[in-house]
Amino acid sequence: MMTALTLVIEFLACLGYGALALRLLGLHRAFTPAMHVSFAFAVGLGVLGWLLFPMGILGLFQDAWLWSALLFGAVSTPLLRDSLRNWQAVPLDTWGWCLATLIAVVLFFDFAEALMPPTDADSLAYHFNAPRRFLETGGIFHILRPLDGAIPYLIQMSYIPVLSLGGEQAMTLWCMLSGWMATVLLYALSREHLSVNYALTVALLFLSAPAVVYGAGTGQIEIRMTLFALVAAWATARSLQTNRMAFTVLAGMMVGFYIGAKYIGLLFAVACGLIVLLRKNWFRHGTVFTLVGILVGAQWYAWNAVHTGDPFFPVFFSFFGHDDLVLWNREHHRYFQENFMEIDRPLARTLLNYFLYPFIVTLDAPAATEARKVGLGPFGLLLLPFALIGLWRFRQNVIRHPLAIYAAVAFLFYTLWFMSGPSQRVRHLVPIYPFLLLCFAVAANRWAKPVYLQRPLYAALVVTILLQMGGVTLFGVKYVRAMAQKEDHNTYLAKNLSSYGPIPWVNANLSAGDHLFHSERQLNYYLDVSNFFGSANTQAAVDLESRGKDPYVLLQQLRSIGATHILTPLTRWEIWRGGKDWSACFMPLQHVKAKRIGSRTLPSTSTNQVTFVLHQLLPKTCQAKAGIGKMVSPSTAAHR
Amino acid sequence: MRGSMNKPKTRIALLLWAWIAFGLAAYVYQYMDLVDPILLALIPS
Repeated sequence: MMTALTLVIEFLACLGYGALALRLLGLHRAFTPAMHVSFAFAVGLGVLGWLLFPMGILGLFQDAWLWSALLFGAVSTPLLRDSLRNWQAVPLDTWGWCLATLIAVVLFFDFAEALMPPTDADSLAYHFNAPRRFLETGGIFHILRPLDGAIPYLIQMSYIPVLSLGGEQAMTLWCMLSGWMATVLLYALSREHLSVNYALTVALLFLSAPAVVYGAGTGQIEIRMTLFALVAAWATARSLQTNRMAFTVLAGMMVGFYIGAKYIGLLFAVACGLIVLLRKNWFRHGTVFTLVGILVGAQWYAWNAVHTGDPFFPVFFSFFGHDDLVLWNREHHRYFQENFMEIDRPLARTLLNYFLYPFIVTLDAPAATEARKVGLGPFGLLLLPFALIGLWRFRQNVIRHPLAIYAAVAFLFYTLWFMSGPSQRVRHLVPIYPFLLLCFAVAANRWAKPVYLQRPLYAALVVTILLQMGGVTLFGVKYVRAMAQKEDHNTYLAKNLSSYGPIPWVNANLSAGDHLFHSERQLNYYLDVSNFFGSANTQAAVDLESRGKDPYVLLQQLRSIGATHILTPLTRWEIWRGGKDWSACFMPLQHVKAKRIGSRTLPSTSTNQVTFVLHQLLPKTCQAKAGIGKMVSPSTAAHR
Repeated sequence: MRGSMNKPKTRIALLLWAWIAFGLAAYVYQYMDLVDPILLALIPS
């Protein structure tokens, strides 16, 4: 009951905050009913995430305050009543019903996924874990970890009220719902340029794209950033067409939300900003756009700057970084840059690769791009000739078409992302994928009017839909199966979450005063005890690389971050130990078997058994044996 | 006369069909090694 209530109230809160913002900007009459509702949700999601930051800083993550934040937004929902009243149901023909049925199938699989405990590694490492830990402390604290710790959390802020007030199920259902709203918004936007059936096709192609299926039901933020990207590009286009400042302000707000959601939002802001400048009074609009974007998006960057010195931690750490951080120093920063930053960029940044990247990741993707299983599907490839010929055929009118602005924003973002982005993972392009879908669909549809052209076009669309629906079924079948078999929480997680094995024992046997060090990031969320995740790249305090370690040094390093216990794979522990007796410093408490799962969807490709060993640190006997005068005392500041 | 006017159209349509067939084959080919794992995931023992 509370799960559903929280979900509805947060949904209404987003609609209300967005409707209020659009009313204050005087833009409430600028939309069709469907656009008004979906745009209000997108704006409201950003506003809610933005408001929760100061609340978190002030330590107001308690139920009463969270209810207040939601109800304050929800009371503005009536501002949408005219649009809701005027929203007319569209009659569907046979094809329309077929497409609607397929969309319903995808939604059903999404629903089944949302009912199961989360198992996505990134979500458990930080998207869901950070909100959980913020709630435990009643407010936001800084997580000094690169890439998945010290990052912007604007979207994850929206997980906090649902998690606190409705529990985990409400949070996973919220991810499902907010992901669906991106598709609703895309459909509403598509209707400006396409018929009902084509708009439904675009919606289905987006909803069933592998990268969307992979991330939409998890805590991953790309699909939710799509909401910001679509509204930002739409507002940028309207700003250019009408020269109205309110549209420029809306565009600035939306890129600000994008910036607040992820570092690469800055690239999107630059792409939109360059387009905003293409007018006579460019300075006025450019200044307003920039100031609004900074005001909205700067929260988490300022937070990073205060705690590390580097607003984009760890990108500029060598220039601005603090010298007194336990977990990060300049030497480790150099090691991190040399060993890690290049891993996610398998293709050299050359002009040739810039043009070939979309083809390479579609047909023969390097593993680091994850595009083979988490790609964008064959739509772009199969419809390329239709879109190019359509573009050439209507080249006289293209420059004045609103879609040209979407295409320009997407093109500029892709260029900036490829040339300067930290990662070449295809799923980072999900927020601009709707622009490609929309532009290709419109160009192909306009050009391929004769029957002899329509046939191959329809064939390409049908084949893409069938392939993607196959992917949806493959991905979703395990959730439906688990739902049908009514698997309990632990059985399901043991089957589907890599290295879950030690969790039940650790949660049952470690107490409130203990602090566990471990190197399995996907376990962060499910650990009920105080814990610290560390790998060789993510922290400088504990050396996890060298073989034949000195137990006293390892124990001192672990104590420096406040650890009382350490959980490692047995094989790694034995390599560290090098056959020596470490019993004076570490006492083995438990050996636990677990499954390492490389792929949740295709577990037979890479699943193996691993044994974990949990040790308790023995500082007193270790100190006596080593003859060291004074051990490092646990640093509570480094607990997180 | 009519046949010669239709020729470019036929050629474009054929090229489009060929592109789709080629694109589809190339796209699906990369997943051929996953046929067994896919079947195992869909039909667990």
